[in-house]
Amino acid sequence: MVSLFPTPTVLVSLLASSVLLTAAAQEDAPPEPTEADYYELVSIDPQAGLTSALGDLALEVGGLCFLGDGSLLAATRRGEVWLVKDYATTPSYTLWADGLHEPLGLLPHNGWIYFAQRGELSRMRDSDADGRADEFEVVNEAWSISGNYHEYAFGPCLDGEGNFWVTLNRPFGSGAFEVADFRGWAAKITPDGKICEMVASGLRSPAGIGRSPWGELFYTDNQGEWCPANKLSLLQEGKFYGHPWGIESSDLPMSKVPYPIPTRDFEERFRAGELIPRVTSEIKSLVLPAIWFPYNKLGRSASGFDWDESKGDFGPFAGQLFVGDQYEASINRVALEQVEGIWQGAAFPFRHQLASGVIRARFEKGAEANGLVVGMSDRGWTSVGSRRDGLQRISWTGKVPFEIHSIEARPDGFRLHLTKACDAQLVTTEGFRMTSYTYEFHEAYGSDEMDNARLEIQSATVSKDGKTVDLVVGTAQLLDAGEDAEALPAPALREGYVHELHADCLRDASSGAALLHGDSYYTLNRIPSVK
Amino acid sequence: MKRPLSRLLKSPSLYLAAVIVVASCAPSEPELASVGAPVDADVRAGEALVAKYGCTNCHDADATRRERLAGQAGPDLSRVGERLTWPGLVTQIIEPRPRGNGEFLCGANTSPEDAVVLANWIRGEHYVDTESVAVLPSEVEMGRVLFDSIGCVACHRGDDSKGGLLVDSFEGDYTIDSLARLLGAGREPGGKTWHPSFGLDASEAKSLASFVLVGDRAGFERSVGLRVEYYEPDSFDGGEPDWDRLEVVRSGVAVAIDLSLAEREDSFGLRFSGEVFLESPGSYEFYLTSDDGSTFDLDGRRVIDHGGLHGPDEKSATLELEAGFHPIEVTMFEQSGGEALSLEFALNGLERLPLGDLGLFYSSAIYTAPAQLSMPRLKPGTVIGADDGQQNTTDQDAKLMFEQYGCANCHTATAGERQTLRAFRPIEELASNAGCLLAEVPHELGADTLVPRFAFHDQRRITADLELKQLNAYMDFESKPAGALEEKLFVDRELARLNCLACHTRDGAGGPPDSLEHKFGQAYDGDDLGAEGHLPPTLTGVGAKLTPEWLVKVIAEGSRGAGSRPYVQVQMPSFQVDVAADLARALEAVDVPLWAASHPSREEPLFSEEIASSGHVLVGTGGFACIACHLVDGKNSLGLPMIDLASTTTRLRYPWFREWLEHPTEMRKGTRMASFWSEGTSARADIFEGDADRQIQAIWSYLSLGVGLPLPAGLVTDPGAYDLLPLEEPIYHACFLRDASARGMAVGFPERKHLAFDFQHLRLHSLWYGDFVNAAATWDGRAGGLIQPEGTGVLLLPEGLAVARLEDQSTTWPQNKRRPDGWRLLGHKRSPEGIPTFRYALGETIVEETLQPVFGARGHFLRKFRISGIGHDALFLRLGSAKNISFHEDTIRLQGTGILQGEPDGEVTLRLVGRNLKPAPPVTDLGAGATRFLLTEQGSTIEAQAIAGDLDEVLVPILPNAQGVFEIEVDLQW
Repeated sequence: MVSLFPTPTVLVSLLASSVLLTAAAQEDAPPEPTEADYYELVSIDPQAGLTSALGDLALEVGGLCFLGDGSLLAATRRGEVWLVKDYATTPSYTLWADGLHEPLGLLPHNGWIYFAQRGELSRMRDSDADGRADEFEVVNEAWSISGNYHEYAFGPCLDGEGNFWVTLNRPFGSGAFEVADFRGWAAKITPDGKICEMVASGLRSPAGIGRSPWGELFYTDNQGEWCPANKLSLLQEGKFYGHPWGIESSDLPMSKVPYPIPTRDFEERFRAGELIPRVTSEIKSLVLPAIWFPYNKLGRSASGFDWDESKGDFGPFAGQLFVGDQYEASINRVALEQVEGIWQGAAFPFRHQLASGVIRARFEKGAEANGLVVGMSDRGWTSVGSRRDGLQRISWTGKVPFEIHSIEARPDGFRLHLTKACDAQLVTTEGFRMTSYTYEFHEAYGSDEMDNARLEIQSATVSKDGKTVDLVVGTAQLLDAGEDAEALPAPALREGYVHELHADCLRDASSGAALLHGDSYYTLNRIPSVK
Repeated sequence: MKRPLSRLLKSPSLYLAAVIVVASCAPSEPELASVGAPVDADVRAGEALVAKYGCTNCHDADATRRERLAGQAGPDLSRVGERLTWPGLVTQIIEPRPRGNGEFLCGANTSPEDAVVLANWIRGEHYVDTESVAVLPSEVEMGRVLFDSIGCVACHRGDDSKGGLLVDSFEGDYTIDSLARLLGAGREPGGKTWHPSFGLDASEAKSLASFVLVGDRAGFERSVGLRVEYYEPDSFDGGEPDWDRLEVVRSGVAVAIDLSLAEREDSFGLRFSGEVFLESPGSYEFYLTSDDGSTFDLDGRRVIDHGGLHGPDEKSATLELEAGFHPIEVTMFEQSGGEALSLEFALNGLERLPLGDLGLFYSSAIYTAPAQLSMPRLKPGTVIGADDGQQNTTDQDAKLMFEQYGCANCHTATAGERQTLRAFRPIEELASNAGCLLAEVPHELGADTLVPRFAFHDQRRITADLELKQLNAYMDFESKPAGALEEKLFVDRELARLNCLACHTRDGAGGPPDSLEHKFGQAYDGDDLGAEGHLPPTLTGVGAKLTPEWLVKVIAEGSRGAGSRPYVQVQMPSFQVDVAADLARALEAVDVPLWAASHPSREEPLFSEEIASSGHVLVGTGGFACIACHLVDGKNSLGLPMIDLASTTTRLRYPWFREWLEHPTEMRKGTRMASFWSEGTSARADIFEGDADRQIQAIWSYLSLGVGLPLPAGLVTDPGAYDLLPLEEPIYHACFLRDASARGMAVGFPERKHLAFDFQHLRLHSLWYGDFVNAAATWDGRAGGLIQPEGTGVLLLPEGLAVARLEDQSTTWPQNKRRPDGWRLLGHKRSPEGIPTFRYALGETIVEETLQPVFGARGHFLRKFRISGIGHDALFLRLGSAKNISFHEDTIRLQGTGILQGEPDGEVTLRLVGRNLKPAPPVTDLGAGATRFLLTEQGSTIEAQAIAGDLDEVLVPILPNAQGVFEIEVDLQW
């Protein structure tokens, strides 16, 4: 039996060598690289003395958009919209609008700024160009709210046909007014605002919605009841995403999603729980996430996200997806791939130590742009950040970090693409630790990692240029059988499972440095049949 | 952005050391009596004492002096038995003990036997019984703090060389309850005790009484646990038990608040009392679970009332508490069925723990009253001395004794109103150092020679010698002043009688002596404000400073009702209303002419909105930044907690204000008040060319808007508060709106008039003035609370849209709570100044509703409608709906319940701007007695058509003009 963890003797020797290393470091060795060496964080702070309605300016950013002239608009959870000019150099804030009802998205479109409020999709503009929005129009007010704090509306996001998509949170507890329909749904509103269709159900707390460069929409959801871990899913019309809160609305005229199961006893049927891969066979309309973000390993509350479409201005991860986390005050990185028409891929830690809980993360658009602007707030939900709210900008320093760029699923394992060549001499099969697990779908909050297995790496092959490593997964042993029981064999790769990899042996061929982030999490929905 | 305040505050002139006026007791020069002879100051003071002590209740005076010597009656004794304990009463009769300076102390000069008879008769049927109470150290401590801070020491100090305070003598004479009742009784202005009232609540009064009666004399041992009393009544009848009437079955000490002491399952009660020790300050949430009823009191206040019959439910409450000992009491009763009791707490949202996890203590100090007194207590009507052959004494004899000793001359007793039943020698015939002025009054039982025993010589009273000297001087003075009493003398006497000068100065006299100054603390714990922060204001010229109404209010209601200096620790007590009215009138009569003689005359400026809005600018940070130090309508200043400016014109007379603003340091040495018009030049030359007269008039004009006035620029919300202050531009606040919908929009304006619009129901929900909203419901934590108007004068608009399509004139207005079919919200526009226009539509018909606040007092808005795309349907606009509607010239008056929140007789007036529409004969067939008025060009000009219906309403038919548009503007005031 191969141990995943160093034995005490190994630990002693590791300690000894690290002592030596430290002693050497004092002489000439460069310090271990940090995230900040590659991606710099700069706060976009208001000018001193600027105050708002309560004296202090609470920059609880829920919506963010760029105006293309070096300025941006930031909508706060207090319903204020701040125009921030020259935000990347010498930011200056002015109040552009107030009185929005907890706006959580901003979209410049057709000369207006579109935004979802709790009770409606709206648009606003500054018609007399005096620096203040003065026209506020309802685009659509077809959905209802009961007056519960958790009835948030996120978006809008444009699809390829110019429709507006908005995701609607489910409430927790009762509201002061009548019960609201279609909570936990995604709404699609025609470009003229006239028609609203409820196109997806089963959402819990869909805090991020975005359109991919290729036109498909994705959304993030937050762990809780019926949502075993944070996730990123393809958002599709007619689909169900797992949460039964609003499924009674399936029968209403605006609904485009049928009740998820024919027996119409969803909650009774699944309350006790069932492993995710098995649930899918029973709920045909259920969409499994493209990415699971394992709890505590990749944050605790996935929020806004955006794709790096800069073709290299933001570093080596062009085309990849960057997803905020509210609790961890961090950004995770996602490399998606499509296997047999299904989206899946790997998620990596990317940047920690943001000032506060990340709500929005948007890439600047335009020629000069190379930054990711992050809007933050931890109000109501704690975050590890040092501040309560704020705006920050992440920019690439120009140095390429030694990272796993992306992971490709293979019929017999995984191909790791690296940002830089690794030292092939140091690559061993024991130098990779891999486990796999799935989740239980149930009413209780979250889920443990279930059906855990330890995977043995059969071979690890480095390409000639040192930038690709092919891992062939050999045997797998189930770990949940109890401490004393002999590990049971399991299939090497399992669909519907997260495959967690710690690539301890990879070293930058030039500097000898380890990976900036050694851990990665591949959500395997389909095992490709051919290489 | 903001003008630096430090520059204002650091001006050296504001830091002049406070000059404390040293008290001196003698008036500066002798006054002339009306008869023309020179009168010595002692004679004058003696005369005042004759009046104060009510000498003429016994000693008649001739007609020329009777009025000027008229004094006060003695305390009403008809319920004295409920105040004084038995020994307290007997001692008071035999040998009165001084308790306060200036107090009139009288004893009956009886034999001890007679005192018993007299006391027995006076105390009547209802009297305080023996009391034995465990006293909590924290209560005594609270009482000590009150005693030291509110000003008790001003009167109840004795000669410092003889122990200081005069309160020691209270011990045993009262029970804690009876003294607390006495201290709290005057809560209602004019409460029937001699003692002025400080408006203490029951808990404060009890603490103060505990300190006065127990003070340091009890050994305060704290023991672990709570005192617990166990009861087993037959039934609780389902209601709140009257614990004091229930019989205690068992008592002891409990270390936890639970049912372990209960000895049966039904019909029992428990009462726990003692102290809880809090190690750290913070937000304490308490959870009380009981079956059946229970209560939880802390610091003498009910924290949780969980009374009545119920199952094991939980109730909770949150308090911000300081560290230290806090008195607590927990009661519970069980009628029948299941039973439960637990009390838990959570500090700052942390883990819930039993209250017993905090330290629980009880005190072993017991206050007992009365102390044993050798004289027996008798039941009323008892015949005493019957057995030993002495003369029997009956109620009749006691009443006769009351009259013969002269008690009835001053006191009302149970048996009747006071009246002079025994005449003593007239004032004019009295000599010095004789009769009741003697140090040793001989005790002789003879109708003619018997004199009461006064405490004039009691050396514990620091005024004793002085008063004797003055009284003797008066008695010796041959040509005693006669004639009507001058206003000035009346003022002097009243100030002396009420002991005002113990705290205040007037014309250089009075004020606390140096030895007491340290007791006059500052309630504000920031900068030391000097004399202004420690001492009450001077009474010099007060009649010319304060408005007559305010002067009466201050005297009659004291700090609690009319306080304007929260930073001064000592409290102004309240006196009886008639006393206040007479004194105020006299002060005005004396002071106003004096002021007029030495100051230029100043006319109070007439109010104009334009002038007032300049004043608004001058008060804010863009002007003189008065808000750097002064509160405004309850909003904290940027620095000091000085007098709230919104009360200015209620309190002050304009001439005084005018002078004060221009010459503060001349008027009050050492004041922190800044002068902005030094040498006639204003710091703000751009407003009224810097003219002091006009600028001060503008400030006055603005401040005359009083409570609810537009707030000056520069105020900030207190840290951690969510009080939205629209100061320079409107604030829009989208919210869940109480009694409306989850799609509310509140808009607050700098004019301090605000609105709430309900987007779900497409209607103006309310208009109000004063404070705007508290955004905590929307912005604090996860929020999700409901927003409501925080101000006053909340005008509630009727349910339903302002515009409706009606079949005909007699169709009832749609009352549906949901939005009617076909209507949709279009959104809203904001003018460059931030004035909203709400837009909604029915098909092609678009309604635009604009609401603009008008600067000025109270509620005032312009409400404009512009309706376009009008088709062929019969559309109507509803201007208002009320219990009563009447028409006077161009004014429509709406009246009755439901218009103004909480005001049954609320009234709102509407005027159509630039339109001359008149009511047509009312439509009355709407059912339920409702009346509808249609306003048209052809309507009648009848005025005052007030018809009371269930829901009267005023409508205007919506008829398009040549451009196809209907427009109307309504001026709304309330």
